[in-house]
Amino acid sequence: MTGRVGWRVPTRRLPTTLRVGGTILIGFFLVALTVPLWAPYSPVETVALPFKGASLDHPFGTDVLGRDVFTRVAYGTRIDLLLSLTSTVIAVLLGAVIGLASGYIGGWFDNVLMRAFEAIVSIPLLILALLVIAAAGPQYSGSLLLLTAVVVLVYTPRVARISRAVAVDLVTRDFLTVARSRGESTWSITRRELAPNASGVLLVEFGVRAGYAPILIGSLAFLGFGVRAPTPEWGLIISENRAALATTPVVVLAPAAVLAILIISLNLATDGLARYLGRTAVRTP
Amino acid sequence: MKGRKLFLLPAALALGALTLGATQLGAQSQRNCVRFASVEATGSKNSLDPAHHTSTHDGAGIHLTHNRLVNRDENWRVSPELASSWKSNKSGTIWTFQLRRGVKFHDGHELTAADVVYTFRRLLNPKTGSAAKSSLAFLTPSGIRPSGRYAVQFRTKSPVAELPLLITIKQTWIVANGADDETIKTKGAGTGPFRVVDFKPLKTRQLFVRNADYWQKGLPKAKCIEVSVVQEATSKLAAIQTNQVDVIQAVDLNTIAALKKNQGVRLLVSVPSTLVGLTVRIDTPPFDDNRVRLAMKKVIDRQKMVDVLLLGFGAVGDDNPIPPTSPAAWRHKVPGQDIEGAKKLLAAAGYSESKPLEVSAHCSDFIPGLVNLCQLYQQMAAQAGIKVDLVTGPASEFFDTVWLKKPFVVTGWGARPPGEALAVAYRADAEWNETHWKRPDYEALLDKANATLNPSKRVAGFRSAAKLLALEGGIIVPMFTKTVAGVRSNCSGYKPSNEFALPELRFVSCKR
Amino acid sequence: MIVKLVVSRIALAVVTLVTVSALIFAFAEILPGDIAARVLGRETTEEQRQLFRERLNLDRPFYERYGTWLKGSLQGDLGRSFVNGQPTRVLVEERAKNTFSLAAYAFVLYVPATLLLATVAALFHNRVPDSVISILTLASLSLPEFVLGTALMFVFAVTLPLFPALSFTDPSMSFGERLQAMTLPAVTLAVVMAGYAVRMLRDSLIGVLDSDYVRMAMLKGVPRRRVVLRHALPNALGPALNVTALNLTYLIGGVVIVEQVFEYEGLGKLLVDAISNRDTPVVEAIVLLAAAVYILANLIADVFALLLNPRLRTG
Repeated sequence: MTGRVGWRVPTRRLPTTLRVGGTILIGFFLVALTVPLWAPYSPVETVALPFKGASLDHPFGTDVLGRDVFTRVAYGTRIDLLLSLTSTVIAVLLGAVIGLASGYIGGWFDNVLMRAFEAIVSIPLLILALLVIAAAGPQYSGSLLLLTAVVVLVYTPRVARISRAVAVDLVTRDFLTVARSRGESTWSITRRELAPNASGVLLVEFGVRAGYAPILIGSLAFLGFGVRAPTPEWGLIISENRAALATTPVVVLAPAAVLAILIISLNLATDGLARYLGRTAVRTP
Repeated sequence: MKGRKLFLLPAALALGALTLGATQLGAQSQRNCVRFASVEATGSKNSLDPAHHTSTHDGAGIHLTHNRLVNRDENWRVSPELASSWKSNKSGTIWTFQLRRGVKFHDGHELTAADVVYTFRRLLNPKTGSAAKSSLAFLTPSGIRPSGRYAVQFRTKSPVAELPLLITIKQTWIVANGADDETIKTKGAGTGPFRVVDFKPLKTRQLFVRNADYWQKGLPKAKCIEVSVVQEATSKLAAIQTNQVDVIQAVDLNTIAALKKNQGVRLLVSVPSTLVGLTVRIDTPPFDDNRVRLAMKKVIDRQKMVDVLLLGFGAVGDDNPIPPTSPAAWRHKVPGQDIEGAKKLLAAAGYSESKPLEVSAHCSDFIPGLVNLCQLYQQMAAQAGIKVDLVTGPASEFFDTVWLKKPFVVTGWGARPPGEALAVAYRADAEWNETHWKRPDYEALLDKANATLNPSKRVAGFRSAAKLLALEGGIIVPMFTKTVAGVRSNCSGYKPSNEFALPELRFVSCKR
Repeated sequence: MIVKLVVSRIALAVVTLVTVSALIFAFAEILPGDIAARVLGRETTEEQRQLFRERLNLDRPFYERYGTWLKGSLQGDLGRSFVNGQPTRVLVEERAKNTFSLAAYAFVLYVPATLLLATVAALFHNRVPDSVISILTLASLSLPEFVLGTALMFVFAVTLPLFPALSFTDPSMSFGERLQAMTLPAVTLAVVMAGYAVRMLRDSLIGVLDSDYVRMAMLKGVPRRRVVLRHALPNALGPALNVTALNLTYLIGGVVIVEQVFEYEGLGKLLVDAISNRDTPVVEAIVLLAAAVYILANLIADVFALLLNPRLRTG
């Protein structure tokens, strides 16, 4: 496959999976943006007795502190969607830049960096996240900034390895040699030659990571290392209300279903995007 | 074909497991042991050493394998255990305890004064590192001495009217004379109704068998007890519903509705016992202004907290460690929420809508539900314009990085008799003085009460101290919790103790 | 030639392992919080804590402690747990047995399920069965383990009491009882692993099925099933091995949640407890073990790929 210079947007018809996934995601975005306008209650206020079942007043019931679960789940889109996407975007950008640069520069810099990243990657994601959170200390516990940082820290090495592979692959191509002999600066080469060619891979990579981020954030909340109460975040809501699974299942199943739908739509969109770009979305656990 | 065989094998395994399962679901329960599910929020340490008593789950094991000199009930009345009788001299400075004869330790040797003296001196020894050292500050190692083979004397500088009660704390379980730390921790060196069988650290299920030579005839009722730790509410529920455990020390309140429907399980409720609330350091701004402290207390709708957080299984508190239901309470009816009053106090202290009171509350679930309490408090405080920022963290980090280090934290205390409760965190030199309460007038009241031999005068003294604490202190106590235990219908003899960390398992037995 | 490649791969693996150990040690030792206060509990004084620190050499410089630890690890001595003083190795070994048997059980469930589903999906490529399987795997990828585990517990242990809710295992239990106790957590893990693996295997199977070699065989009249099983699957083994190696790592991470949900006494639960208790030696040992498993699994997968693929040999 020959490389190309500059950006070009393919103009084929969008696959169904991308359209379905994309539509659902847009729906989530709209909810996240407009929820204060139409939410029936406040997400942090006790409005009834705990664990009342689904009713007209409370379509998803009330939670452990008597708060309306529907409102909390709706507000949860802000955290789960935005936190996942923001941290993944940062991770992918950071990983891409580092990986591309490393692959392009090569030499001992590349070697050392890749050894370090490989070492980080051999620690399972969740365990690494736990270690980082524990190392950060209690003063940052539950802070959204810390969670963003954790996601970025665990994802960046993985993305970097992939983008480095792309860079290594591209480095040997003719058009790059031509650009270098023309005297183009490294930054310019990165911007005009490396990045567009890596974009397909990276977009898909972004989709894959974004699909897992809500699971990571939710799992951390479940273990008690995630967002702070009373923040409405789906993983936390599920964990807070787990005790009522047997008595009022809707308060656990509703946020679980919404979380699943978000992840499914992210994954669908990623698959569709990958197909559109002529690639496959490689997911690894 | 190769392929098909690959599929068949796990299918067969799964089917096998299912059939074995259906027939053997009850198999584990045929061991004739009473299976007791304890709780542990701060991480099992697994030690049988009464001096440290580091976790609730350990408390169960310690209680099973040891005895104390006397026992105390939920009304703080003492009754004989290893001591058959006791009396003090006229001034109340020398207490003599007569020991029962013929009590055998698990290793076979007989209980004598030497064991009691060793136990208490060990607790007072700073090298042991026991919390009891502060609680037993009125004792000195030399003041504890044998008085013959079967009697022990406790001598104190000033009279301690309630000494038998005050030396019956969660650490004063009698261990064998000369036993070393390692033995006590892993094998237990006690006289208790049950013996340890192969105690393994980090194993969440421990087995204890009946002590055939136990000094109380007819006890214990159970042949053996299996103590396990079950954290998750759903696991607890499922375990007792499917007969995997017999007794659950503390049922998660949110599963009560499901349990009520189940014919195989009975729910038992204790008296209001554990105190939960918040504390502020009264020497740290903005909490050094008593108007601020009073405002923070007035915003609470205590009954609502009991209804929402405890689903009714509790009693309102009055900002001091004595429950309003106790005879030592300074008032029995606690006023409700007073937002207007709180606002007035805040205004007088210089706060307004444009300049609101902003505080950070550090919360953790070292008692499950405390974070929820903080959240509800945050809501109520907001009604009076107080902005509360919640900082939550894991339970096991709480005691080394938060408690006693931050000025506004969540707190919880097990039930204690008034004399102990009013002193343990409120004497100026108390190691856990979370509120930095330093009041000579308060201590004078306590000292006088401790030395007063007349019970009603003593209680009056406690009342005055409690009133001072409630009106000027830094502890906010919205409620006392009641423990709800779950017991299978075929089991009897269990009653949830008001001292949550010490479940009484001598009388429990299950008909199989 | 090939020996050189294999040896270099092994050397690489060793370097990675050592790097990881340094990383782990760095992370674990900067965990803030006073280890002494954390471990000894609420009710201690400063003198007691200082005694504790001295006893465990917590006041020596960082590189000295790393060196001691690394040397000890190579000899099998991973220190003693801060919390209960037991040798870390003994603690980890005991729990490791549980986790590995859980992992093995999950594997036994996952392998044939994956093979079956991936083959069906590839054979009925882009038709109804493929779409159904695609939806199912997508769903399994999208469910966090704690949700899946709790739901399974609710359905199969509370509502229909087929399995115990608490996965206690101890030596006195019969094999059947133990299998029962492990089934729900194993199924949870297997479902998640299968979600990833089925997709990968299906993709590579389709690729292989499309290849000239396979088409030739089918044109020659070889029955479809035999083509798939005798020719296609083995060639798709490469990426399958890769995914399996990754799934092994996932297992060590995934068990953390699953063991918490089912109260299963394995490494995952030990790790969470140890992190909470700042039981540094135990944390270090378990994370090191997890990393070692990953590195080893990748190494084996790499070496196999090298040996199996003639093209890669002449590199």
